[in-house]
Amino acid sequence: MEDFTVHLTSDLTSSERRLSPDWTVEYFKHRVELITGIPPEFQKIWIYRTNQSNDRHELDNSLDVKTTHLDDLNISPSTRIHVENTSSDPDLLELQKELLESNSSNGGEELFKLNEQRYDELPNTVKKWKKESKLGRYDPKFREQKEKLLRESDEIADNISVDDRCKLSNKSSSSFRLGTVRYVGKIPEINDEGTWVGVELDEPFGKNDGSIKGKRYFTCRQNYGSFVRPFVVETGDFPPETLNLDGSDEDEL
Amino acid sequence: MREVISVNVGQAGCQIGNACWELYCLEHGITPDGYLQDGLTKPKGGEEGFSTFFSETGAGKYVPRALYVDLEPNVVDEVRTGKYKNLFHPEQLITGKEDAANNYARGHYTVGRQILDDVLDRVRKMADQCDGLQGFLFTHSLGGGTGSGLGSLLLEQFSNDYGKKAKLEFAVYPAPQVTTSVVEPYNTVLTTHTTLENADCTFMVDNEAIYDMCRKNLGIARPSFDNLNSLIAQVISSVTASLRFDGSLNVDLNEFQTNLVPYPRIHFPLVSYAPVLSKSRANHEANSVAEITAACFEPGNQMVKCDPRLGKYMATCLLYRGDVVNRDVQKAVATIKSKKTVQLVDWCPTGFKIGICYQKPSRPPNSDLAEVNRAVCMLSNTTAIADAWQKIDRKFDLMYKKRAFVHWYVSEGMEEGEFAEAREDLAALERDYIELGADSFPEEEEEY
Repeated sequence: MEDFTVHLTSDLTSSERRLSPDWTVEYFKHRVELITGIPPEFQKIWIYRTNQSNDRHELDNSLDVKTTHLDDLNISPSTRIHVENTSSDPDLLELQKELLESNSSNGGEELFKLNEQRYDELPNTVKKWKKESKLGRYDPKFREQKEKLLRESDEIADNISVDDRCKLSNKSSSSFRLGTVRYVGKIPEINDEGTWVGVELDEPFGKNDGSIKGKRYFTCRQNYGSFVRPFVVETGDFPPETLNLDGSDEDEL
Repeated sequence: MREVISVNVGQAGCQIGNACWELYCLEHGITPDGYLQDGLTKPKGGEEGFSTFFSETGAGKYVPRALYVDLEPNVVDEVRTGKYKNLFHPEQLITGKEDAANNYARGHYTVGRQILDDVLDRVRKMADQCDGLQGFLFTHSLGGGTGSGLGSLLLEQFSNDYGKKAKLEFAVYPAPQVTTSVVEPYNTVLTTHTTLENADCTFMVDNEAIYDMCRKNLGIARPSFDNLNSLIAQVISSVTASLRFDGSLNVDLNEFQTNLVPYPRIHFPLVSYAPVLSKSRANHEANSVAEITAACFEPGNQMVKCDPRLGKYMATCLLYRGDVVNRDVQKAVATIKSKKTVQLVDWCPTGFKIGICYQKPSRPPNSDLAEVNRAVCMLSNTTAIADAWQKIDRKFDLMYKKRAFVHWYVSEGMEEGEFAEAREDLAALERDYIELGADSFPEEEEEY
C-alpha cells in the first residue's frame, strides 16, 4: 500500500511526514518519539478530520497497539496529527520551555564558549589563514592605512563638541540629516577603534535611543539617536528645520 | 567532456532530485522516457553542456548522470513506478530496507554502512563512463537522518576515492523558527562538522524561507513539500544552467569555488533568486533586469533567512538567464554598488562577477511559477550567513547540556565525544566568520 503524508505537530516540532498504512500503532508511536522527543507512554495523539478543520478526536487508548495498523484508523491523507506531551518529567518540560523560547526569540546566547586560546590552537582557522597570508591587520600596509584613517578621524573629532549643532552627510549622497552632538569618544560596544560621535537627530531617522548594546551614552527618544564616524559630521549653525511637507500649513495661517 | 554526477540522498534529497530532473528534461527537450521531444534533432543547449548532466546510450536514449540513495524504499519506489520510471536505469536507484529514523548515527554508522559498498560500486561504474569527470553535486537535508548521516559519509568516501574532484552540495538547512524533529540540531551540527572539510561549496536552503516565498509571492496558503521542492529545483536549475548550457561564468564546478570561496571553510554562499512570481501577478510586473537584480538584495528573495545588511560581502556572482543584455546588467550592478547597504570586506578583494546564459527558465506544466523571460540567481559569500548556525548551535547547547536524546546516538555505536568535537568545530566556524568581518577601515557608512 502506498504511503500517505500528514502534517505532524507537537509543541516543539512541525513537519510533513510520510506514514505507511502497514505500520502498527506501536511502531507509529515509536516513530513519533523519534520526531517529537515524547516517549510513547506520554503521547496524547489527536487526529484531525482535515488539515483545515479544528474537528479532532483522540486516538483510542484502549486499542491494541500491536495488532492495530494505521490503515485501520481511517486517517485522511494530508491531515494533521498533533501530539501532546503528558509527561511531568521536569527535565523534559524545562527543555521544552527553553527550546520554545529559543524558537520565538532572536536566539539568545550560546552556552558553549570557545575561548580565544583554544581557537588559536585549532588548525585551519580563518585567523591562522589571515596571519599566514598577511591579510587584514596582519598586513603592514593595511595597518598603516588604517592608522592614517583613524588619525584623520580623531583630528576631525577634536573640533566636535557636545551640544554642537551638526549636519550628517555622505560624500556619495545628496541627502543629509540635522541634529545635536551628544557624545564624542570611544565606544567599546561597537569596537575599540577610533572615535565615534553620538548625535540626537531632529527627526527619527536614527538607529537607537542613545544607548548601544545596553550601555547608555546619552538619552533621547527611540530612533532619534545615532552613532557615526566623525567623517560625516559637519558642525556649525544648522537651526532645526520646521517640518513643512507641502506648503499647505502656510495657507492655513 | 566534463561530466557532473548528481547524488540525491535521503527523502528531501531524492524529492528535490525529482523536481530538478523534471526541469532539466524540459529545458533540454528530453521526454520522461529519455528520448528527444518530437521535432528535435538534438538536445537543447550545446552538446558540451548537455553531456555534462546526461549520458547517451547507443539507442538514442538519454540517461541522467544521477544517483538516488535512500535507506528506505518508499520515496524512491515512487520514481521506480512514476512518470520518469524509464528515464533512469534501475541501478541508479539504490535503497535499503530500514530507514535512519531521523538519526545521524544510523545514517552514518549503522544502517548507512550497510548500503555504502553498493553506492560506491554504482558511483564507480558511472564515473568510469565519464571522459573527464568534474565532480559531484549532492542534494540532501541536514536535519534528518539519511541526508545528514549517509550524505556526509558519502562525501567523506568520495574525498578518499576521487581526491580533488569538486563536491558541491545543495543542503536543506533547518529553519530558524520551525523545528521538524527534536534532534534536528544534533543532526545538523554533526553533519556540518563532518562535511566541513569534504565539501567544496555548500548552497544552503532553509525551508522556512522557501515556505514564506511560496506563501507571499506565489499565494499558496499551505505549501507542501511539492511546492517547496519545485521552487528549490528552479533555483538549483539556475545555478547549474551555466554548466548545462554553454554559459559564460561558473561553467565548471571548480569555478564556483574559485569565484566564491576565499578560504576552504568559508564555503557557504547565500543564494537569492528573482523573480518568484505567480501567474496572476506576472502580468503586472515589468521584471526588468534592474528590478530582478535589486530584488536579489531583498531578504524576501533569499534561500536562507539572515540579514546581509549587517554582514560583509566577500564575493558575489550574478547568474542571469534568458533575455538579458550586458549593458542592462552593468547599469543594474552600478546602481546596487552605489547603495550603501552592500558592504565589502576591506582586506580582501571582492567584486561582482556576472554570468549570462541565454536560455530562459522553463516552467513545468503544473508549476506555481509564472512563465518569465528572464531570471537571476545571486550567489554571494556574505558573513551574514553565520546567523544560520547561531540559532541551531544554541538549540544544540540547550539539549546537550541535559544530554537529552544522546543515548539514541550512542546506542548506534557513536561516541559521545563526537558531539563535543562537532560543536567545537561549529563554534570555530562562527568565530571564523567574526574574523572575516573584522579588520575594517573606519568608514563614512558606518552607523550604529
